[in-house]
Amino acid sequence: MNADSVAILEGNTFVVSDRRGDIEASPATPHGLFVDDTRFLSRWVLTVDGRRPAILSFDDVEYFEAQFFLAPGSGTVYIDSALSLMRKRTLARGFIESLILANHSSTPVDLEMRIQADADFADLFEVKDALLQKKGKSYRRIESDHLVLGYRREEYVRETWIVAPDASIDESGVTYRVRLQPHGEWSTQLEVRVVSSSEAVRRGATDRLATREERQKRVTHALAEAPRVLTDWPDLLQTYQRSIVDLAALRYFPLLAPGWLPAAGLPWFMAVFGRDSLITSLQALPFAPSLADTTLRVLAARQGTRVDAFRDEEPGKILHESRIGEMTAFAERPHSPYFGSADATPLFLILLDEYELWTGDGDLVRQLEQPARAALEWLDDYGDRMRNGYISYQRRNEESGLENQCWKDSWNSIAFRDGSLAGVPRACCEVQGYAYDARMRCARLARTFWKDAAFAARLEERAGDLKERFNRDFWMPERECFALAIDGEGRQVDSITSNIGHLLWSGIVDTDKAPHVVQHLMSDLLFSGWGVRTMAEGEGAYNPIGYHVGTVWPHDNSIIALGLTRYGYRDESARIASGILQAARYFKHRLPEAFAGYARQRTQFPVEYPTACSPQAWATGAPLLFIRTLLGLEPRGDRLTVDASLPPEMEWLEVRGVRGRWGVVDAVGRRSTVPPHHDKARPAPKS
Amino acid sequence: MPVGNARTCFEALARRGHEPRLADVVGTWEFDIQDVGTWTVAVDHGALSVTDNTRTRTADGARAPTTRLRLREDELVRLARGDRHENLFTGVIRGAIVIEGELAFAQRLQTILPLPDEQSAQT
Repeated sequence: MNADSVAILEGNTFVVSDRRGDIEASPATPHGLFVDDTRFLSRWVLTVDGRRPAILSFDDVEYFEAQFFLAPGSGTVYIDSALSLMRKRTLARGFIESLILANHSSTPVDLEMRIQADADFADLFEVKDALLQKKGKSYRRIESDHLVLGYRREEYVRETWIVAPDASIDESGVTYRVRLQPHGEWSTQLEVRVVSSSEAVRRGATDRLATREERQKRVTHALAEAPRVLTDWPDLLQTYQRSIVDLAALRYFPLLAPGWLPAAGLPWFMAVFGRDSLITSLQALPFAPSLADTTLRVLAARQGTRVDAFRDEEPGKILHESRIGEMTAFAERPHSPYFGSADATPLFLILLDEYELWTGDGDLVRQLEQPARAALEWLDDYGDRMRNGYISYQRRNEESGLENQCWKDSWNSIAFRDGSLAGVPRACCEVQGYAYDARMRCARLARTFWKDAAFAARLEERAGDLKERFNRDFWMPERECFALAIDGEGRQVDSITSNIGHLLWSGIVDTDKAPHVVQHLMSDLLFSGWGVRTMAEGEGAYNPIGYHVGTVWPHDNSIIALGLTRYGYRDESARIASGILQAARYFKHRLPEAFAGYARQRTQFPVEYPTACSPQAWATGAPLLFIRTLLGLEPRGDRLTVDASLPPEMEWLEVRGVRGRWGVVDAVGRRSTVPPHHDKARPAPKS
Repeated sequence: MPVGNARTCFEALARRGHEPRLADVVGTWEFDIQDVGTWTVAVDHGALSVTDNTRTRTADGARAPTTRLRLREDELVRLARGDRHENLFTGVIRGAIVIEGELAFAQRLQTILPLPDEQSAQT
């Protein structure tokens, strides 16, 4: 989000405005009131006597509410107004805006306040692509107390109702003629409602509609229910609390599905994303395990069942992205849902196992046996597109499918060392790691819950075979590193990237190769001082402000830190956690999805990535996973074990009230200068 | 013969007999096809059965369907054939399909769509 923007959100309803509270959408300024992937207001500009008021201050008090303190301008460079205007906006199904005008002088004032309104009903894809080509008809009408801005295309109808009982209404906005007495005040309230011809969309909206009190209760509840973190590093505490609140804000109720799961990120990704929801749920397991339960259920219910080239759907595949805007409704985009993801399917299996390890909820593992088996079949069958034993991807939908179907899904992310792009299909290294891990984990599930020892043995055999081949085929002896990918011609894509850190997490790396991987990760070429860059400095495609070719992604680093811990590199893991958590301070303790890859010693502060989403679910989840990693929290049988390795910023770290199959325990860790017996999990005292 | 109207759609559904991908599902979808009639499709652990409610008198006090879908006949045909990439989701977002009852159960219907035409069902 742009620093000049103010955003408030509630699930997939959000408003992006300037610091006055005005909405003025343009191709370069993605302002608007967005609901269900549609922009219901593209213009909402307030004037007093024809002039825009000056900004005194603004605050996004709650994630769903913002206040703007304004002074009607005198037209000069000085703000010397005897009037002030408070504008408060609260999200509803649309939003409610309260306006209070105050006269601080001893003479009466007559003024005209106007709000100019317009709605382009752009699909979010049109906003992203800055290309608006509406095929339906717009209309406007004035009702007794409200202005209707509407759009119709066949049976698809979307309307914005601007309800302003005290105003005079015309087709382009509402006007108030106000007389303010000396030291007097005047106030009014407008409501912006969104209306949809889809009964299910409407119903979904009503179900998720919460009152202000309910929302505040939800935040209070989220903070109260989440384990309590205590530490002598105040920045970490603030980042943790911000994460818990943002996770509550990002809750999204998908259409035709039970429950809620985290949407991926504001503003572009307020939708169900298989990969993002899975990773976020995994990051949050020690803190909010119920996220994983819903994510697994929703994704299982929408698992692919057929080969559908348009949607890149295949039997057993887990979805990539689901949208409910106009372009999806008319199949101009394949997101109903779209399945172009090579990693969501193994990640689904990994989360299923990890969820059971933490919660002991074997019932869910039994309920999802069929979807899990179908996902495992996909790994062997459709996932292995090149028939070489590796998961690879090549879009079936050449028109609007994704070129890259790994987490680095921008067009230029899979490049050779000389900067040229890899051919298709592409088998990315981290996806092979996930596939290995998924099979190993599902072997445990097959043995323990599905009572199928023969299947478990087959899975372990396939995993072992994959590990052996992978360490041979992806290893680049001359660079002492794993290749980013193998392309359609069987060539190693030889750039050095952060993907190798995910390999450590999955456990696919042979122990003799792990030190080389770690050396790369911690080298100045990959490690910026804040975190591991997505691509190493010096590679042909490297760009410190390239989305997936040089920026630093907090979620990526949280997975790398977990991987380093798995292979015993605790100091390195703590160094990465510390770097990213220190960076959080510069982002008001809310980590963005990515920031620039400039070296820390050069800039002294982390440089914003221009169009990063914030809040973004897996960036929000990153601090949670870092806390788990720093404390070395691991479920082992019915116990939670603690083996802390803390960075110099803190002497101690404690998480109180970690729920799981062990009941509720407190986990305490101290720096290694203190004897290790201080690290422990202990039953939480009954309150 | 490809599915071309409501009757042929439900005949094609009835021919499915058993659908292994619905082995964990029990429930009923009632289709209210505007100006044509109503059909009930029941699934019991994968076994599918179709009842034409305009021909079969429903007993008083019969249980409400798990999900009821209201749509026009042309939308049903488009959905059944997957024309212009239509699926349950796109129909619902446009407002061409109205769903009452359990939304998540409605979603399972997509498992058996689009329907094969008569020719491909026989081959």
